[in-house]
Amino acid sequence: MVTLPNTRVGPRCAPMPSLQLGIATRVLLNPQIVEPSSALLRRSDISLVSLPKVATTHATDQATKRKILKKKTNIHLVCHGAIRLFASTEDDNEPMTMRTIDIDPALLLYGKPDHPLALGDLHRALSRARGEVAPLLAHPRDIYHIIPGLVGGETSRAWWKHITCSVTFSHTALCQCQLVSHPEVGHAEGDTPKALQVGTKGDDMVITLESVTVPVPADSREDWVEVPGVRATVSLKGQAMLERYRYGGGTVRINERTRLAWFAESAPASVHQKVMNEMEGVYIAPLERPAKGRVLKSRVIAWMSAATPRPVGDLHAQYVAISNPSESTLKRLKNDLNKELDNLRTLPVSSRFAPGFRALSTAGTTSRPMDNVDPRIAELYS
Amino acid sequence: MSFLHDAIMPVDRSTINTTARIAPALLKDPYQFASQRQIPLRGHHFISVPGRTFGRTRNGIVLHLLKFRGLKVTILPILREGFSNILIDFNPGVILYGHNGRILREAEFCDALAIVSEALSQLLEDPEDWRRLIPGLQPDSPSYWASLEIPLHCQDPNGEFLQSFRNARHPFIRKSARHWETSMLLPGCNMKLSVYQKGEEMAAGKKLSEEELQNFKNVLRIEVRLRKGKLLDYLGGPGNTSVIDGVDRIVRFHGSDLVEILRQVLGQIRGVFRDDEKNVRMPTTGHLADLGRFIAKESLSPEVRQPFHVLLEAICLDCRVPGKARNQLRKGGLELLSEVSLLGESAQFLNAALPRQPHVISGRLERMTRHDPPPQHMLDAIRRAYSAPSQTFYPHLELSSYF
Repeated sequence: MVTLPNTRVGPRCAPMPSLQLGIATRVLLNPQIVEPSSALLRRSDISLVSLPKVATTHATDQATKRKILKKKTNIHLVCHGAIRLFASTEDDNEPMTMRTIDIDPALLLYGKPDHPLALGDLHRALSRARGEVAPLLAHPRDIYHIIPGLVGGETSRAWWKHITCSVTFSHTALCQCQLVSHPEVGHAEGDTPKALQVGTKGDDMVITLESVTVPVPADSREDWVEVPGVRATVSLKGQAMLERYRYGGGTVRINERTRLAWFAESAPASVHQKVMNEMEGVYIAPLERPAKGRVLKSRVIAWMSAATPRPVGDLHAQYVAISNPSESTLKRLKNDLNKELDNLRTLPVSSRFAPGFRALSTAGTTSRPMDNVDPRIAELYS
Repeated sequence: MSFLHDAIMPVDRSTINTTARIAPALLKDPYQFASQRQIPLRGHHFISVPGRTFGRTRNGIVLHLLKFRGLKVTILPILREGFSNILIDFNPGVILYGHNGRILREAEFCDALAIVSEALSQLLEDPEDWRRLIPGLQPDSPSYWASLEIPLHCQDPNGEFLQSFRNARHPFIRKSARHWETSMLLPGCNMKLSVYQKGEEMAAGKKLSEEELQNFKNVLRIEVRLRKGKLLDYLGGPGNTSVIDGVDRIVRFHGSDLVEILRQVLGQIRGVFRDDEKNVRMPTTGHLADLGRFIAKESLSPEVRQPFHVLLEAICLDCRVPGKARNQLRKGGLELLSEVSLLGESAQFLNAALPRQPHVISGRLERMTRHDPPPQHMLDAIRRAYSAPSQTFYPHLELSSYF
């Protein structure tokens, strides 16, 4: 049994997924931000984690043969990873332009990356991010181009670049998930014993399943037990993100391309669920777990028949050809194999990622005070 | 009169660790310094690393040198001493050709080292100190090889060699293998083994066009990466090591040493090659060994095609197989894989592959990449140190030289 201090078994509720958000924009930064001795860096309303370090690339303009210095930097605000700004310049004569803003709402609001999010936390995180970034801008009016959707029409400069959503499922073991794939991205590759990934780094959709342990409430007492679980992370960008988030959200045309401008607060959870419903593969779920210490041939053969396309008859014949058992062993193996096949259930892997298996959270139904939330953000992203 | 032996020198990305006095002006304003001296500096950034004493932070700089890539230098000044720690990260193939699809010859490797020496000598307070930068050029030098990648190419027209390597295990690498469609990796700490389709990898990095890829689809690359203790274990030997700051370090090697490393590593791999020695010994018996053989046999089935270790890992986790039993299963499986291997013995495989090393060539990058010849005295000193010892050194006879 595991006892978590100061916790209470709360009512079952659908937890909010963990989020990592990426915004693309184009706003000028105050040039003093990259001057190590500038007064701007010491202002109390700027929560810089550390002095920005600039990387310089030396290039030659092919048309004019002039030497140009391209610079780029990452600026972390509040704490490392909570808000990360990427800024760059194509020429030393130009000021730094902020290109992307990455936000981790759990880190930003609670200081912990895995802290469960509550209803309204998305609005609070976006509002706070806007407030933290605003003092760094060259032009105060560019504040409307930090969070996408606040400015409509052709003057928009900000859009959603990527949305990553994680949900933890309990009573699900990664090792029992076999032949995992998704019709849009293919089979899992690069597996380790603790994680598998469907889709590669450059794909518009990447699904990662990681083996975790999940505390769940024990039957009747105010205690918790740890059970095997899987954290399923769905990362979307580009066309894949646009197609899944545009319904219930909004788009904008920027530079002749359609971009995602806003989405409903409930959208990440429902998109995540939809993607997990589309997963293909088998989940091997024995009715009775084997006793540790005994390696049963029949169990292994039955497992192989569930996890691979090979028919059980062919597997049995292959094993007999290798081991050359006696008559009595063969008879016993046949009986045991039938019992194991009855014991073993295979389910579609997507069934283990149904809402009923989501790990419990008591943070989901708690409404937080809505102070410090920009009402326009709350209205747009509701 | 004998000619320079056209021996191969299979070296890919490598790292040299040394100390030297860096020109102070470089650390203050690298761009200004490089412009004034016309040093080909592609980019730079400043870094802070935690110091070893009293938690002090050390501020250093990373420089990306050479117009056509292949050389990165990290400089960390040592406080109060005037010297700087220098980490030289370079890829000789990329320096010479813009890509690392070629298995280099000895002369080409020496040419690449000479290009590195010339570029870095300009960063020093005294350019004549350049011999401190390359290991083995002078006695009491602080310079040593910190890591080496040793590649080997072979033709794999049906993809069967890659499939065989997916079952590889090495006694010095405990972590599980990772598999992608065109590659696999045994990810150890100081030793890594990777096997991948080189053409696909270069095409993914936009170094080969789709048309060029068709010519190189069959080239399989086996790469051994060594550093720290494992580098010393495999490469340390008479004449290759020197004591630097009280620690044995690798300060030189020859092509034959690297080929011998490949021979040793391939001979130690289990589950890939037919091992004659194992066949002479009694095979492992018992129902667990038989079960292991069964799993291995199934892993080779065209309908399954999952590597043996992946299947074994999943079965052991789900069926709760204890450690000792797992070892027996693995042993039986590896024996079967060795028995049925298409690759024959490891030594046979290496001896067949070595003389016919196929290259993967990017015509576009090779046409773009150009270097002026470095000073002859640098070339001579490096060739003297890194040429095969059995060959008489004739500096005016250059076979397969880049220049």
